[in-house]
Amino acid sequence: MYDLCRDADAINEQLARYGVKFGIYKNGVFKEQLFPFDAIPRVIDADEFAYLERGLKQRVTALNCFLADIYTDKKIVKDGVIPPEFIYSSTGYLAQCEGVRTPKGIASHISGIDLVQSKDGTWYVLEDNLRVPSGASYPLIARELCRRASPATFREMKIEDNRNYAGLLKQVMDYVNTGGDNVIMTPGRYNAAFFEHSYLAEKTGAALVTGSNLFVEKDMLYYLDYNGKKQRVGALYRRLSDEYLDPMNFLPESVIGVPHLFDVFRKGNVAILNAPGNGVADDKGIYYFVPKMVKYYLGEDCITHNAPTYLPYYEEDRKYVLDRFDEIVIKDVAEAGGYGVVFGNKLTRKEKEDMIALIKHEPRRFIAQDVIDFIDIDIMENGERTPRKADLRAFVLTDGDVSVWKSGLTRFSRNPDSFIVNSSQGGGFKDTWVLSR
Amino acid sequence: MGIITVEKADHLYWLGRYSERVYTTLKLYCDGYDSMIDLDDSYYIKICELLDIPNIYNSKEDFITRYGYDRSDPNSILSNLLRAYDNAIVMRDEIGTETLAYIQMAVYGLEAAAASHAPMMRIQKVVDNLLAFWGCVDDQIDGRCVRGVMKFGKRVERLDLYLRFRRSPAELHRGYMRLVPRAKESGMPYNAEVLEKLKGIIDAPVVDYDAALVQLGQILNV
Amino acid sequence: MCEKLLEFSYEMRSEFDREITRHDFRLMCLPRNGACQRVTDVRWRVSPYTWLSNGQDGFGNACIYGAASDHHSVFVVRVTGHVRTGLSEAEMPDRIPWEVFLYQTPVTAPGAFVIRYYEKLCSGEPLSGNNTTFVGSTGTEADRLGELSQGQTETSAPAFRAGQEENCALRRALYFMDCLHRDFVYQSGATDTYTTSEQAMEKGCGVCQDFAQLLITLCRMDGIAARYVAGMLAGEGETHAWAEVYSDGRWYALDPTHNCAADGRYIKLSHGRDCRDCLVNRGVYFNPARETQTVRVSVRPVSEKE
Repeated sequence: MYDLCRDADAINEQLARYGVKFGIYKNGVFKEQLFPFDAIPRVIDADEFAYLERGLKQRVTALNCFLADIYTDKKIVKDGVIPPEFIYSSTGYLAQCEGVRTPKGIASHISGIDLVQSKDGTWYVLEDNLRVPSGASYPLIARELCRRASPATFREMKIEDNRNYAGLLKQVMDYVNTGGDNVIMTPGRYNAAFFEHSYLAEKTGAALVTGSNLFVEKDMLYYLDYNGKKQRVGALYRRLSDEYLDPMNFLPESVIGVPHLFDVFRKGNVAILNAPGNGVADDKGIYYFVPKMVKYYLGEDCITHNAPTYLPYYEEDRKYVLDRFDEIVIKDVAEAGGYGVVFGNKLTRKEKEDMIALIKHEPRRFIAQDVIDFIDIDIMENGERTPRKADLRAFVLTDGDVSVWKSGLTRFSRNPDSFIVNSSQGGGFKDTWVLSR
Repeated sequence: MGIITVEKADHLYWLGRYSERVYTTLKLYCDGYDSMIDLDDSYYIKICELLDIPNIYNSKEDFITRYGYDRSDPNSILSNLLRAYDNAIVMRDEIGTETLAYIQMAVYGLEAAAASHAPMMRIQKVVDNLLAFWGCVDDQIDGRCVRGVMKFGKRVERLDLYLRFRRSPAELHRGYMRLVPRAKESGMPYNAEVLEKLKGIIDAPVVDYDAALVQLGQILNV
Repeated sequence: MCEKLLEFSYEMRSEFDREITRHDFRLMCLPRNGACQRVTDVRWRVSPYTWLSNGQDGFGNACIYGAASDHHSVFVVRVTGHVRTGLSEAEMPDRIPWEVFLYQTPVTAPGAFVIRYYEKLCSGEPLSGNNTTFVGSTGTEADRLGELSQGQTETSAPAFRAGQEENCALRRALYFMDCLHRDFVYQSGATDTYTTSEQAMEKGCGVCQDFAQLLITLCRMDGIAARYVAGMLAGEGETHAWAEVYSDGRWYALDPTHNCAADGRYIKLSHGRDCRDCLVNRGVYFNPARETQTVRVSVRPVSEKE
């Protein structure tokens, strides 16, 4: 570990060499920024990981059951477990997906579950990301470099090798493939996560394409090779949001999508990873109900913990929220990426009054959570160890089995006062080590 | 990787062309830099004429800075290198992270040269990385068509520059002979007639350089 | 119930001022089967096309879709057939739960103008140019229902009237329809397909799409599920739009543009949460061109010999 910190600069230099970047727009201009890497890893011991693994498998299994149910039989709503309002008024609910049965019944193939650990050691799930969770490529390439920088560390520590991620991803694509090539679809190089799209394509052997390379003919999806020959696509790992996928079925003004793509999917002729419509399950409002889903579909108690969450939609919860306004954090369910998050005690009196009025007016739009005092993790800054807020995104892959990648993306906030750890708001990342014993 | 799309072939071709353009013009630039130290202050005017780019430069100093490193000058070496980068970055899945890294490092190198007091010393790194890039292409890329398309671009660009620099018939002949097999191997649709005509022009007793350039410009027009 | 056999034709002709290529299209202009109507035969022709397919959307609406890849400057769709209508006074629930239609969409979401109007309707303030009120009014809705059944002898109004005694949602919806018909002015060309309920209310005038969406907006504000319907109306003209309101376990079709029940004279093509779910035709193509579109709908009853 000492070696790693000593060589942190060299590792960051190597990351720059390999173009490990994410793109951001500043004042309308696209810029590529290096994603700062901190060499001190997050270490999760074997027992702790075994617990997380059980919990995450259970959680993602239930979420997949929910997605399959919600677009077909809707038993969970009919049985009164989730109020219909939380489904049908959600922007993530896509009526277009009604009645669709996804290949092999899987909707969330790659799930990114964001966790934090509180000071008493309890892990809390903060968010489920079932649409296009990104970030696995960063610890993947960082590990490669860390092993070069400090072979001794990896000889002595018995750390689970995380470099099988591309292999796992390929297995998932192969499993759901309906006949044809595996393809990764990117919005283009000016997307924030383009590095990841191209890196995963390289490592999985999937073809990297943009919407303009793809086309539909008679309910089949194809791309053209440079000799003008049609190649069928059997699994499409798309890295753009649902609404841009297909101008014939979603936003008509989308120019990066593929006309009729959704019709191909509806007819079962291509697997889309993750399936369109998943937003209904990772909405901040639906999050509250995930433990209930686990109970409902699997008949088990939910192993993972949700952060204590209140829905102003329910009168009892609304009262709690208003009574303890200064102790809670309020989240707008429609926002993502660390936006729309408000800490009650940080508001001026006027802002507070406005917020309360808004909550009373649109209770369904917000959730409130107790502020979790989570464990800080050290980072190296100017040669000294300094504590910072950090979360963990665990990646759960679903094919025939559900598996949790033995690593994850640990992001930290560089600003000492910030609770928000998000790469789009200028954070850094760490490797995540899972010990094998 | 077996299959590449039309768009990808295009990127590979231009990656080949731009990286070759940077490589060859860097040498010209360094020669010019040397000349202009104490031998020939107006050397840059000749370079502009040879390259057929507008002479927008106020002085040799201005040329050295802007032609070398100005992002807003579309003809600068840095602009050309960034075009190579733009074409490379979208091809990571085909050429590989290892290979791509050399273009990335060439960019870092040229940016470092721009900021340096002795840029010529730093430019060596850029040249090294470009050579390593082609070495890596040969060593690491298995797909024949991927390699073929890039090399086709490289050879077209080199012949193009040789024609612009009014190189000797012997050099042109060599450039031509290296281009022909690349065109065939690339699998790209190219105009075979153009290649024939080029041969005629280059092997003639007096080379009509401009006619040859016009022909070469038509090579992909099928 | 008055059963009818209707013969219909739908023709859409797009002319482009220059040739276009890579034209993708998606059409929802086939009549939909349901409790109220049954398609007895249907034929369609699309020209030109490179490939053609058909299927259903999430709501079970029939779609024809495909692409015309080669250069063309005219695109024609023609659908003809027969539909038996007036088979029932209301639609039965299908696999999409009614709650899906209970929430506003970005198009139907009320803003200040709609909210003010809705509050006026609820508070019993006199309506513009009319002193009809809802609260405390003696039988306004019943009068309207009476008119419905008297004015149009063939409508299914008796069923509506029977329903209204126990059926509060339908009563409210009829009241809203009544008010809208009185206060909102029909004016063709005043709005376009992107106009929201709020924008239409602000203008005070619009076309059938706006009438339908405003009725839907008001119903949803009132906690009543309502959905948008695209279809065709007896006679000659363009396509039409109306709404269906969920009441007592069934869907009742109301046409706020004409202030009546959408009965056997109407042929339903599709339904959805708002007009965007029911676009009769969608298209994207490659070259920039100016498109002139003409739609001709013709619906007429066929006399059947006993």
